[in-house]
Amino acid sequence: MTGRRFVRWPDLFRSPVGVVAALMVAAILVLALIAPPIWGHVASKIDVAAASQGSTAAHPLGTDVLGRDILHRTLVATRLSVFLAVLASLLGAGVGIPIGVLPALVGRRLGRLITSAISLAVAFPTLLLAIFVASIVGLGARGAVIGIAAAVAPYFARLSQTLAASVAGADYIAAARVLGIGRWRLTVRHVLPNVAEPLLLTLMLTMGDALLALAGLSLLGVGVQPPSYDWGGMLTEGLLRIYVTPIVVVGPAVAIIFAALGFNLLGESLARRAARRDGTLPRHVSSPVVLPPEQHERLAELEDERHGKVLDLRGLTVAFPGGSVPVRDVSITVEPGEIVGIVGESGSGKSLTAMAIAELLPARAQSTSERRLLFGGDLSLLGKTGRRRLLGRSLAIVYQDPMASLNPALNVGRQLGEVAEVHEGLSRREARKRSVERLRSVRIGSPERRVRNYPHELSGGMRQRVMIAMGLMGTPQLIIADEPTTALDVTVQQQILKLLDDAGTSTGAAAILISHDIAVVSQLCRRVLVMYAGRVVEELDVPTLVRRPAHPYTAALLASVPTMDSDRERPLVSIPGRAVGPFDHSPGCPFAPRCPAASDRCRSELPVLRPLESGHHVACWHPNSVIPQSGPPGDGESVREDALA
Amino acid sequence: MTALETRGLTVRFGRGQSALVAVDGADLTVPEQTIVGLVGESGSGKSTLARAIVGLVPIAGGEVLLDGVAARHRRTGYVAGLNRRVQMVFQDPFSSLNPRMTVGAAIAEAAGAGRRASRAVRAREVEELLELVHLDPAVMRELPSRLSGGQRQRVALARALAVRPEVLIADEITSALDVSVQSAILNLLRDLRDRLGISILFVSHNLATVRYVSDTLAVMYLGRLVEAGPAGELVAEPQHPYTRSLLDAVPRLGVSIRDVGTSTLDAVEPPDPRRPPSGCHLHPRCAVGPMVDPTRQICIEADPREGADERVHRAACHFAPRAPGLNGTARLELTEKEAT
Repeated sequence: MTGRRFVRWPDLFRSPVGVVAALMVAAILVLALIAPPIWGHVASKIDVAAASQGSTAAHPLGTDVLGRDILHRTLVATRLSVFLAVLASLLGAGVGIPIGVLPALVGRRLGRLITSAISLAVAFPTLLLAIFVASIVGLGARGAVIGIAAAVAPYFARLSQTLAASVAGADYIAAARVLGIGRWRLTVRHVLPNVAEPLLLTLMLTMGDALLALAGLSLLGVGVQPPSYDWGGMLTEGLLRIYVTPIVVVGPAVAIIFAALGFNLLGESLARRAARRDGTLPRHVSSPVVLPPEQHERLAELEDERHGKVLDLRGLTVAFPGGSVPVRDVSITVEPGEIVGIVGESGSGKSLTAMAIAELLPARAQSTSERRLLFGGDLSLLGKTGRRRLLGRSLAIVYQDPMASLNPALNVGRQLGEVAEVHEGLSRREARKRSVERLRSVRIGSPERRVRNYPHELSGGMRQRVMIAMGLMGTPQLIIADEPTTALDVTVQQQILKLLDDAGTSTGAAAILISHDIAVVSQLCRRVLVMYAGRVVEELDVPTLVRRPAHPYTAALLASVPTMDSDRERPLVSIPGRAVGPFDHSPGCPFAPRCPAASDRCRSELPVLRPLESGHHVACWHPNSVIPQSGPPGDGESVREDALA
Repeated sequence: MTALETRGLTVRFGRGQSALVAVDGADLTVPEQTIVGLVGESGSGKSTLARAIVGLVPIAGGEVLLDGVAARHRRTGYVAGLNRRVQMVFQDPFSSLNPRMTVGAAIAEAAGAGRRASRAVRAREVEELLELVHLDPAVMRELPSRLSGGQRQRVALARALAVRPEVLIADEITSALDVSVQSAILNLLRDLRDRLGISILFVSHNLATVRYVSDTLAVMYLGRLVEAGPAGELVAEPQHPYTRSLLDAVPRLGVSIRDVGTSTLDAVEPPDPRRPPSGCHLHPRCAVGPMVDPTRQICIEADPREGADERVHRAACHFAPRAPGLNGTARLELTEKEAT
């Protein structure tokens, strides 16, 4: 295993809290190291003449009953206080974590027994348990440390058990089991490294808590005993005199709070950093995105002011802070009643394009376009509420995962009815009636009964039909279906596609069908846009798509997907390398690095969408140049993948 | 010679009323040096069957045989020494590799499980395995997070191959990949079969993919195997009505959805797998069953797997044709039943 850091330290110093916490802990540690040798002597010097003083010039924080300087004693006590707290936490973790992972190692029955024991131990009040154990072990530092360790151990056990259980379900654990790797090795190599991070963070937090608990124990008289002294012990002594010379408690009290706060803040900043680390965007770039100037060599036909289009979108670009531009200069027009397909692989920008049309982009995204006419009008002229109302009523969206897009807590009737109530102002009863009607129109049997069902009571196909019914509750002019059948079985997929086709025909609504599956798109659409790396690389009708696609990417895509008619004797075509990401701003055609027909021009100059013939546009310098050839077996994105950088 | 065989393999989840028989007496044969494709819709039990074979799921009945020798104990995994002869590759290459182990460490661990070897020998082995799956050996120092989906799936393959298994179980290994990458993995599987002489059980819901990669096809419906036969033949002449519906539903490039007929599977919602229909599980949705011909009560009453061995493709359908060359008793019985 290479040493990937759990938490990147430089990251920690990017937040002010993190910096302060790190400085506090550093100060404590330095003090713990240097205070006893420097001030140890002064701190234990008895001066009866100065006994029980308040704040004086010689003793700013007062003296104790033997006249020892409290400021110095506080500083010197750092070592013992912190050492005991750290020791107690480590001991607790050291006992708790192995107990926690034990259920994964031993048999099922014993495992269950251990789990119950842990639950029982967690149920005890922490401090009470600590006092109890400390009293049994014996007064003094040893008792306090063991007491606190015993009190925090159950928490570590429970945490590591839960974490281990969550990792145990991962496929790599299953894979290791199939390989016949023993339980011990499985735990040490596969489970523990993957749960180490939250455990370390908890350890840090526990140190802060242990510091407080130790002070508490000393206060109760079961902690460190004289002549040793820690902050808790000093606080106890001081409290006896708090009404006479209150200053004497300030030293140890501030020290305890300072140290506990330092450990806790550091633990939390680390935890926050760890949680945020998986963010996909690099944080160091925050300048607004400047796109390279591109020629807008557009077709006269496209320049025509045509009215009556459902959607007329030109030059859509979607960018995220940090230099990611996942959608680049995309233009789509949709005529009334037309179903337009968008095909592309993951990362091609097809879904973001749809979300931009529906104004559902995440708040961080910046979208710009040259023209954006929806339902024949410019939406930017409408106010925010007007726009939302128009979109709510006229735009329907069908997502890939109907379970995630239906509210699990509402029954089907309420969810459908809500649309009509909110957007059309229908009464609840009318809305219910319309829900039943719409469910029947998407061929759900006995819809009167089904409206009372909750989403989890329906099959995947039925849920998707409910989603479509929901879209039809208003008076949609445009239906956006984003991978509507990807999560469904083929037989159900067929029904849903037929339903979408019917919905378009019966309501006159236009639709945009987004899919990675070129065959699905070709079944439902007449016109198809092929997207690659955020751009439309080809726009053509289905017969042309099937017979003679002009862009090398489209051709390769078609040749790489096995169909029911593929020649089983010949290897499939595969596309070498992988697609450029949204951060790529190199000039030239985005497909050039993977294209067999790429020339120098392709690598230096971006081809824009140009008409090849009527209704067929392609963004390629060498259209029709590639006849896909089958590669050698296993060839593909493999050997010469330069994406490892 | 058969590399892997299951006889009456049954997997049951839960007990009593809510018990789910995920795999119901599956007789599956994976001959040597063959890719067997296992298709079915979600909930058909195909993945459970795969996991039961490698020992990730306890079996309730039946047995798993390797080279004709019983290899699995009923509940607790494998007979010692046989488990490593069957290996599995999982669907999601993003979760099947330990994120904290380098590619080299993951493969070396698999290769070294159960025996000792020097560091240099180990490294050489890892290199060979990576080359076998067409990866640059330099990736051995990388963590999985640095690799693409296709590369990770190759690493998962290399790790499974590290123990030199005779049978590889590939559970939906291309479904999480982009189409342009999927084809390379499919080519690789066929290449591995030819070069290493291993057998592969390729489990997938995607018929076109299964048809392309497999030599033999097996179809599952609601926990039962309903038909099995040579891939080309089975696709060209399916004998079971379920296989036929499944094939008809595969989207074909450029064929409008309006020109596709409605399947009988559409008419009825899929049944609850906890309470599967009696007799033939398909009968409430079947295109040749009692739904279209009320006289065919046999479908409701009798398990069609009776006598399946004598039918073409071992079809579990009372009305599938008898395989040529077998005597006519099965058919005769049937006509008698029909007459009554």
